[in-house]
Amino acid sequence: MIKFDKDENLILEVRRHWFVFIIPTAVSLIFAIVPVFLFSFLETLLKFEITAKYTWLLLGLYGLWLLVIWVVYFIEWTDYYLDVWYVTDKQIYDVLQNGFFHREVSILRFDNIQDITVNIRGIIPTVFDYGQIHVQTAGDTSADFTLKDAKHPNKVKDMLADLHSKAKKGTVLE
Amino acid sequence: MVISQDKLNEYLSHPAAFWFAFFIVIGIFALMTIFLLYHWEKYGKDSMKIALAELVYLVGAASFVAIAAFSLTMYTIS
Repeated sequence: MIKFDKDENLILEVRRHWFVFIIPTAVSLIFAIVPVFLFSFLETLLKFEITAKYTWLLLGLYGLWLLVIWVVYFIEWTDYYLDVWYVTDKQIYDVLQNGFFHREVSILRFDNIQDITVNIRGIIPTVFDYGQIHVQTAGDTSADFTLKDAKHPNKVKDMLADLHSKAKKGTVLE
Repeated sequence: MVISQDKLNEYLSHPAAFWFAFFIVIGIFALMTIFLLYHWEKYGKDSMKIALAELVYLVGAASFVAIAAFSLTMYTIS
């Protein structure tokens, strides 16, 4: 877990919109349902009589198949949930989780923000209000921050801009 | 496609092979579960959400393991 300073307060957590997680959910459901149809056609396709004994076998294998899908689905969810921006009253923590063994945490102070861009492209992102937030940093050494499919990107942008201007005036960072 | 019933009966009459597959999957599942719980506990910030995720994950997984184990047991003894 990220440890903030004692006098640092978490203002906002920014994640990808839940809508983007519909795709892995739908794929998992399709993978879960496909064997049911396959079993239904198995007797006809293979001209093979599925006795009660083999029904138990198929059910057992189906249980294992569902277990595999369940685990893969939660691995996807972990990527989604742990990929986050924590906005505190001092700085932004950009956490990039990519699988189990790739995790990057970058910190950006508000006074280092040079420009914030929001990019909402397409009907669905417009309707559900999600899009890309790009924070350009001042200085050559620090990398820019980007979060794709972020929830309410314009609200986040306004908040970051506000915190940036306060930091410039010296009312946030002391 | 026609498969001889006798031939298929012969292939499928080795429950040990299916139990072997069962334990392989359970082993991988256990390993992945350790990784998942470690990440949630270590990096998750909202303990309520993490507790809920753990509950849903473990209850779901336990159900699927139970279905698989019970069904394979019935297959073995029938």
